[in-house]
Amino acid sequence: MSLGTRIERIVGGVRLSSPVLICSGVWPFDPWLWDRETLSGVGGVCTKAVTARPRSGNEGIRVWETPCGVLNSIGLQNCGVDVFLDRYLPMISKSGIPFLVNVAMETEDEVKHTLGLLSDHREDIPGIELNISCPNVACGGMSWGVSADGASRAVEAARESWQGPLWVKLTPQMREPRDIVKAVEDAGADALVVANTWLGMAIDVERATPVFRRVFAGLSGPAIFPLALRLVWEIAGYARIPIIGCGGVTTPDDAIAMLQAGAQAVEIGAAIFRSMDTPETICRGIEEYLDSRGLDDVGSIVGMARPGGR
Amino acid sequence: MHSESIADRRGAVLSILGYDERLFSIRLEWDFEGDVIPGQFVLLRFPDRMDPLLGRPLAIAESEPGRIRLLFRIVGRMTRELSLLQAGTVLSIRGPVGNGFPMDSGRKRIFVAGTTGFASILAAYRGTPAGLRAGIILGVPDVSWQAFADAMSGEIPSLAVFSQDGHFGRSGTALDGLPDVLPRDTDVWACGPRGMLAALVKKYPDRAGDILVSMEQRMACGMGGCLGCAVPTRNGRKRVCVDGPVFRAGEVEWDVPRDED
Repeated sequence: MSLGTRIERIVGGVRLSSPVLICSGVWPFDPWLWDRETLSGVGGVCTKAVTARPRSGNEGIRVWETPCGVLNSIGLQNCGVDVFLDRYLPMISKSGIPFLVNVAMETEDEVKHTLGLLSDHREDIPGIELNISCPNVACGGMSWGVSADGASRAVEAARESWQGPLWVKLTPQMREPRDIVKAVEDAGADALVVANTWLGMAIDVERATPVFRRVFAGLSGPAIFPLALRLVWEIAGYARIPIIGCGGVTTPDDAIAMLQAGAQAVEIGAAIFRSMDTPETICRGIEEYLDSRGLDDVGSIVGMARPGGR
Repeated sequence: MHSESIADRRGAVLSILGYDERLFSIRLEWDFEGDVIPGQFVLLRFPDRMDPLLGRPLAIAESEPGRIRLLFRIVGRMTRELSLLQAGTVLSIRGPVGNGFPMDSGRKRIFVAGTTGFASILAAYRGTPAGLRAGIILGVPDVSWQAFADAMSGEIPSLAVFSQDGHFGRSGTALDGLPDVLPRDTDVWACGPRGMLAALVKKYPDRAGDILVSMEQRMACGMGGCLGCAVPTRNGRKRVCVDGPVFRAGEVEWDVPRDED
């Protein structure tokens, strides 16, 4: 049975076929995966990060399982924007799957360059997700997103080159979330993705050394869900633009809780590692919830748990 | 590329056989009736649990429509739990994953396995016509592997077993069972620890293109997305899960040390 239109959303200028997106870093560009049946329930895909130049990513161990979670230190391995435009954009734009190109940056000039090239294909790209939150790179990445000044400069630079829908993916390592959210809004973002991975680490006690070459790595998975939910709740209290909740969403109830906390949509990542059927399972859970409450539209769940929301 | 077969499937334990207290053979039924290529693997997970979160990659040692057999050693909490499962226990099985060995190559091949790397070698050996089998070797470190090695010899009577401590079989590593000069018409198909695979390339430096290695690597997704298993190659980083696990040894950069070796 196909999923209904009640769960379609337009969030931050991007039309989504459901409120469940696949977050960046999860879905590769292999053509067989950009298929409607495989992506059943997926409202949109945030691509693997794209940077101005190709990056080979980090050396050493890159993934490490933790209780109900996974640490990663991939380091934005990607083919660079030129190869992306040449080899992958034509395929994913033809797939009919809504997507946002996740763009990471070291410098302001670099993001202007990357987005300038992407702007030449504006009609093929539904939206951009600006990544100012990757914890696994030495230059740029999360360092742009931990302060209001950095976040403001990054988004302003992006806005110079990209006039279409612009989501900004925040880091939970933000020092002053309220100031950063305001800076990102003032710089012209259309939506906030709250958030990216939480900084953690692991030590291999047999080798008596940190597991990761960069020592710290990003934690995702069900373990961080309550942390991400709290951050969404908090930011939804003052944000003026839509929020997409991201962090540990695994079950239909997780997604519904994120929406009730004030998110307009959710992104899932580690849950896909666990089960590729997760988006469809979540969508069916949301539809059942709507049925059980006699609600017509997924939007009616948004903010429902907030004071005065019911 | 055979990635198109990747899906999360339901499976159930048919039987588990322990060779000793840490080495096991597990037979599963699953809802996949297609062909499995020797060298392909699956990721096993408990369907209704969030911990352990990720599927565990294990090579397919034997397959028939709807059924597979895997070999594993207890190395952590998931494999410990697997070893204790009862027949009928339901599992989530992602796969079959990976490219597998080029079974239709038509060239002779010597099979070389290190420890539980024998799983994919067993599948490849059985899938090879007798006329193309040019020998099969299993190397293990010490006496703690004797029960496993004896059982594998029981399945493949021509298996040449080498133990590094010399306690059983022939003394030495699996590589000691190989000819000094690899015949021109013969390839080597290998699976085992990275150190063994790297040594194999050093043994036949001018034949790296004829050595096929099935690599083991820590991984998270098993569908090419996370890049957790990407290894350096002469053609850039490649994903062990879907670009491999079988590579021509000449393509892999062997000089880059892995932190966990």
